[in-house]
Amino acid sequence: MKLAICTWNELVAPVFDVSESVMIVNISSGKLKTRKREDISGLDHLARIRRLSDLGVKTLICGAISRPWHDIITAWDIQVISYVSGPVKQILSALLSDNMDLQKFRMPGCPHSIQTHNLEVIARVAQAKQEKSNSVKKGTARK
Amino acid sequence: MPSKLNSELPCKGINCTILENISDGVFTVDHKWLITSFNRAAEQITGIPRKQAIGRPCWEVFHSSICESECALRHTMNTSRPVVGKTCYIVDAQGRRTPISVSTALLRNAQGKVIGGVETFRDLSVLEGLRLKLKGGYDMGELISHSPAMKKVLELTPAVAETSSTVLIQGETGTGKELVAKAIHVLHRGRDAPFVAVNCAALPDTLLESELFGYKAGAFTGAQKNKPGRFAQAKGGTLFLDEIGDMSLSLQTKLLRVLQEKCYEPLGAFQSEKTDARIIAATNKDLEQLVELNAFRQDLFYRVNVVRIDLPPLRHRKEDIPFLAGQFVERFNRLLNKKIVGVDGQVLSLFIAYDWPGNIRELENVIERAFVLCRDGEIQRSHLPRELLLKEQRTMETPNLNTAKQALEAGNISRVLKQTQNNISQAAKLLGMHRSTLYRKIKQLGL
Repeated sequence: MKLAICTWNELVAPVFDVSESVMIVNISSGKLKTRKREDISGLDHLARIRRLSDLGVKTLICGAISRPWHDIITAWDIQVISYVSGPVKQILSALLSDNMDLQKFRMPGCPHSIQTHNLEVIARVAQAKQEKSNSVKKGTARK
Repeated sequence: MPSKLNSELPCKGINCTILENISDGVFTVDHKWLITSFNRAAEQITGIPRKQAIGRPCWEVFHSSICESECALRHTMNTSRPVVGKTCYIVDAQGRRTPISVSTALLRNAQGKVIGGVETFRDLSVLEGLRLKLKGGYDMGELISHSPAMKKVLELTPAVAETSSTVLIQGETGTGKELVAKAIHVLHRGRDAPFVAVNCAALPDTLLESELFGYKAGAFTGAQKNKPGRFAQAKGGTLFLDEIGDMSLSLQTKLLRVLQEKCYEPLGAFQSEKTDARIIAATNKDLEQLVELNAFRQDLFYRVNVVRIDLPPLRHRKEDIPFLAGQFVERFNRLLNKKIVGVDGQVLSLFIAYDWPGNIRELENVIERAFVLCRDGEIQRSHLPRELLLKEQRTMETPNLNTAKQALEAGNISRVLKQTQNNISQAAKLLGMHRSTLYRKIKQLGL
């Protein structure tokens, strides 16, 4: 699963609409495989979204986002987890931890929709973990 | 710890009463950028309760367009200089952009020691709404587009406005030809100069002539006093001739003379009158084809076609649909005093998959109609006209996010291929993708 996080000074950037950098994170079998920074400052909005789509990003974690951009990104089949704030490292740790709780990274006054989004992402990560544990069990059984 | 501060009121005493009763939002931060006070107006403008704001970094609460790169408060804290009236926007929890103006200053204690910063901000959305109403709902902002198809138009419009040349705007009906004409007019002659629009297709030939040139008393039965024409009304301003392709050949001859000699004769007049009005013509027809069919004078075509702006139909700029829909929702909220949040995701997908033969006007009408049926919340499928849903059924495919994405992608690729005359390498470069990816997408999308 590929995630993109809008970053600013090692934190989630406050507003997606004007953010200049994203971190592309590859999570596989419940583990962080790779992370890479992408400078998106010179790109117009659509080019940014196309870039994320071309990179295979399926989920975008960002701060505040204006509604039209949220809708366009969703139309590109990228799930948006918006109104998230805090240090990127901690957010990644939370995502990879057992409880995978992003609630404490919610921006103040943010809508409840983040909760729904979270559940979907948590489900994806959990599925990846499940697949990993299944493959481990199969390996042990063979032995 | 900032979080342990009294979060009920930002301060105590008389200053507190004043702070709580002003309409400007005010918040203060300490040296760690944590919010230490947040007044009532700040709660209202941001939609964030004081209790949740206090103790949080200001960017997590304020989320403005300048937080990341041009923070006014940071500038003040670094330079000790105040910032006054910097305009930007904040994105609220519902994803709405609110225009604001921001002022910042250092916050000092009784001993004069700097203990943080103070930011005041004013909600400009009411002012902005009023400004729009005064201007009759027109705003240069409406010309903002995120579509490559509109790039040329956006580049050409201010350049054209610097000259006095006659302009021809071509585009399907409902693509916003008058909006572009008004933009050129405002940039060239200013808001106060007259902008006079005439629809050449709406009036019969004889009426159109008297409408354009005016008449003198006694020119014909019933002409009891002088009536100035549209050319006279547009003195010092712009005359917008919409649907010029529908003008009769005899009237075309008279218009040609005005364009060549800058003068005209009102009906029944003995003397010519001069005009300095800038002419902007528009049509939804192919004038070159009309010239070939002898339905439009070639010499007039060359006169009006000095600078040409081609407006793309909405189906070629589907990227703009969410923005246009948002703009219309905002406008009708203002006009009808409603609080519709926006358009439901499924409806937006349907909008993107639809071809909009009536272009932006059709989209505007669909949203206006939805406002009648929708009381609050989001515009849903049930608020859409039957025709739109019937067309969806005819395609035998429920539009979903995937079809919306494909529609956007297909439109974009087709346009670039046309622009590069099917040169794959060039098109791939413009689209920022590899040749093989482009080949695959062309095949996938059936282009």
